[in-house]
Amino acid sequence: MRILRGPLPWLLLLLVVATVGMPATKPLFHAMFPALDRPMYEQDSFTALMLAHLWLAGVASLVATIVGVALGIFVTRPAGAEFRGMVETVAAMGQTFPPVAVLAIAVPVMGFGESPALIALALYGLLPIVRNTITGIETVPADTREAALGIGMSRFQMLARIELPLAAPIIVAGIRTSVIVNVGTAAIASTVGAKTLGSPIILGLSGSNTAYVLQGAILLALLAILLDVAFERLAMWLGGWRRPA
Amino acid sequence: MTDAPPIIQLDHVSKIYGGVRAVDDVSLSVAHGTFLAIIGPSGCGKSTTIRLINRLIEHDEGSIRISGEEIRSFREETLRRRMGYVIQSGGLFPHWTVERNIATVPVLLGWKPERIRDRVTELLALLQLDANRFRKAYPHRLSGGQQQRVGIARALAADPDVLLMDEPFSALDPITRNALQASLARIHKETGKTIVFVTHDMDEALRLATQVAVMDRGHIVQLGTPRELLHAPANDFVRGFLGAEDRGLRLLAIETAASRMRPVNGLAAETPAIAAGSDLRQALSEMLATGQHALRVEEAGRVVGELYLDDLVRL
Amino acid sequence: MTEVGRKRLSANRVLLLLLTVGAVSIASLAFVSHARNRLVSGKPVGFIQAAQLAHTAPVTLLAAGVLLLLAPFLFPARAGRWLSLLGSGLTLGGLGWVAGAAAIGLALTGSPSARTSLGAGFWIAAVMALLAAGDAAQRLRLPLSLIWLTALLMLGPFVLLLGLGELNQLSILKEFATRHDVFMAALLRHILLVAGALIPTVLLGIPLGVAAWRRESVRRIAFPILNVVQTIPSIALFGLLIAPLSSLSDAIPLLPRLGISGVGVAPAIIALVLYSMLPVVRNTTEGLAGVPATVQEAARGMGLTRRQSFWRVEIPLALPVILAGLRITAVQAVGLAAVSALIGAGGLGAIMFDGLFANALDLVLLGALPVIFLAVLVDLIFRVATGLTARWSA
Repeated sequence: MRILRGPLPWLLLLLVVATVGMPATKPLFHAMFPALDRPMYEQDSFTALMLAHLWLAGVASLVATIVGVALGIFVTRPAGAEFRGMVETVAAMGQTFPPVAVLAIAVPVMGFGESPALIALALYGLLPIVRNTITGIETVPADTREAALGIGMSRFQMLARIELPLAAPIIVAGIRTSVIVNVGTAAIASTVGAKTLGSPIILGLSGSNTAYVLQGAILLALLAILLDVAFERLAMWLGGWRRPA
Repeated sequence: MTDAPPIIQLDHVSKIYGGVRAVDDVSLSVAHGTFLAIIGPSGCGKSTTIRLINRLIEHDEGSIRISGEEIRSFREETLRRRMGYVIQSGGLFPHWTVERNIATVPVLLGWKPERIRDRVTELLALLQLDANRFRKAYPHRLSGGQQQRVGIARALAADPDVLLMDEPFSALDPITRNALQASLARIHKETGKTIVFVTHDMDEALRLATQVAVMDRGHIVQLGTPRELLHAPANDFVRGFLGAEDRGLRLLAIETAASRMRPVNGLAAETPAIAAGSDLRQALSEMLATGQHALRVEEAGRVVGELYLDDLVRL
Repeated sequence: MTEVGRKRLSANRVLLLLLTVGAVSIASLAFVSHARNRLVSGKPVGFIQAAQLAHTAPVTLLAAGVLLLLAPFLFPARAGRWLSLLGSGLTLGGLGWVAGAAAIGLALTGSPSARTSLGAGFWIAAVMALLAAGDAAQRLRLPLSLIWLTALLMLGPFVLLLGLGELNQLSILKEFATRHDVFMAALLRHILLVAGALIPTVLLGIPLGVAAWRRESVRRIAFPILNVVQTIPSIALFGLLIAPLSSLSDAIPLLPRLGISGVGVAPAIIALVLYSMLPVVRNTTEGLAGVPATVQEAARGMGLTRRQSFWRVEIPLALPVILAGLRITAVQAVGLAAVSALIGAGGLGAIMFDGLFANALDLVLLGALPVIFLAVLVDLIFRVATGLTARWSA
């Protein structure tokens, strides 16, 4: 079982146990923070928060991936080539915008709640994916393309069998950036009315309840690290042909 | 056979880039089984010409026909799958194994897995690549010469009518190039494929081709057999390209010892010997090196004739 | 079709899309929205109505801007693109002026507590104008030095309108007027937070980067740790720092008097430095590793000592890459400093979150827009600096 090697399965196990078992650690937090009346966040279950968080960040990342890769493919085709300069400029400029500010702006434009947060995350998450899709497809050598066409592939076959597989490691790196940013920003989205792992943190910060902050922060950090490690594995697998045998 | 249309026919074909005629009014007829070398300096339009044939570039004027049919009547992919295509760098797909690379077109054509497997085995053998070692290897593990062998195998995979090759050996070192030229000559002989081969190396063209087209600034300046070119260059450009000083030696290089030898007439047994298949340039070299003005010609270990210095200079 | 003809058409396709989206959103969405006071939600005011309220001059400016935007349809050469660039600046100014003048018109009829805020129609049209400018600048292949000119061209009309007070009746500026002092203090605090994080980052990060370049062992330890830190979401890192820092300040009475406790500026700066390390260390190492071995050999061959070669050859050649790392770090720090408002570090983020918690949307904008502006400005400054060093070291 190659999949069991490395930290990935253990991190996953740790995250599940920490999420489900968090309430059981109440005595521990009681001992750590004797001054607090309620040392355990109990407004929502941590499992529900984790699932809501995953839903928000996951849907946003999925939309960002689908739209981002499609856009990246479009502007690298002859038909979309003239849009490429603009798309690249927007992607580069947009990435300098702090994600928290983008999230905050979504409120005056679209209102409070989960869906404005979702749209803001998806839009922001789009940028690294578009950028990396373009870069990834660009790095396919010209003679590889010429060989693919010259040997009798259609343009679609060349895209599906040559360009996308060769660009995959770079595209996945973009998705990884996007997902990690989305997971972090989704936590802040609890300030615009979405229930996420950020909720105990924000509540704890505003109510000087360090225990709440710690509970949310631990789960959030674990989730981000787990996803990062998972993407690392995926990237290794996708780039397998590069490895010396 | 003479009634069959030529396998490739170009009629008054031109390609214009921003007012410049990169290929200008080229007409060319390639019979089945021909090994045509298109040769010329860089920018003469030779690479453009072969890309016109498989429609990687569309021609602007004239017509191109394959076995009598206008190439635009085919879907691009269909046309290209009927023609193997080999480029200078090999252009192997780096994320696929050697086997998967060679199988590209058969997979596109939907062949059965067993048939593809057998074909790959056959081609690896034809290109003198050890199947056990190379079948599952990725391209970056291969040397330049091995990559190019795989490139040729890939081009031959679906048994195309025509093989188009764009300077396939020019990035290789001389020893590797020599070995690949020998392999290609053998493949041409064994399979009888029609080959169109772009090169800027005159020795390569003279060694391999049955027909040579010399191009300059978009035109075909001369078309003929290697012998015709060497004996009667059409103009100074062709003469210059053949190498004014080397022309005589090149003439020797296109003929074999067997073609000029005289019957056995009792040359001493210690006279140096040369294989009947060697070219006359090698024969001359042997005479100079050994200080002899005659050689014995051998075939399969048996003396079949004698070759004198006079025989070499006789035109 | 000729090559030139195709190019002209393609220039128009991007512009055509931008103009269409801009026109459709102006026609269908609220240009501004008007509320009797800040508690009730606003009623949408369409562009036609806003234009009627705004009178001739602003509408004329907008029309002139849009006409110039169309220039590439008529002149395909560089001239057309320059005109288009100018046109997008005027369009942006015109949009702002129409909105500002409409707000003045609405203020004449309504109560003093009435508020006019910018609507989705305005925002989308403004973004389209910016994109048109970006497209024109891209096609003109402007050198870095002229990017400043473009920025000036885009913002000039706006700054002028602000100076003339033409926009004063817009709610975000009303909000600014009532909180002028708070805003300025927050802006200053924000800049200090970023600078306070960057200075220790440079002092620690560059030597660490050099050490990592020299020694495999440093690389093997430093990078995984910094990678993990960078992966942890900012809000979680802030949260994780609170507990240890507050127990530390409880245990050592001196620390709170120095301003170090679980919340406030100290944990914010510590977290910002932790985050900022990775890009600086990584780029220092990569920049040094990217110096061609032949150059180093040549330097040594000419008799430079190792130290001389390091300061005169390696560092100057690596500088553009190191500066690029600093740019990433600085831009990132502007955003993280906004998040640090949640742990009481202040700055523009405090205004933004106050607005979010109090449902005061203009306040949110007053906090968030300057954060974005600051990030873009920092990015631009570092890009120009990187460009300059790349030129002289190349």
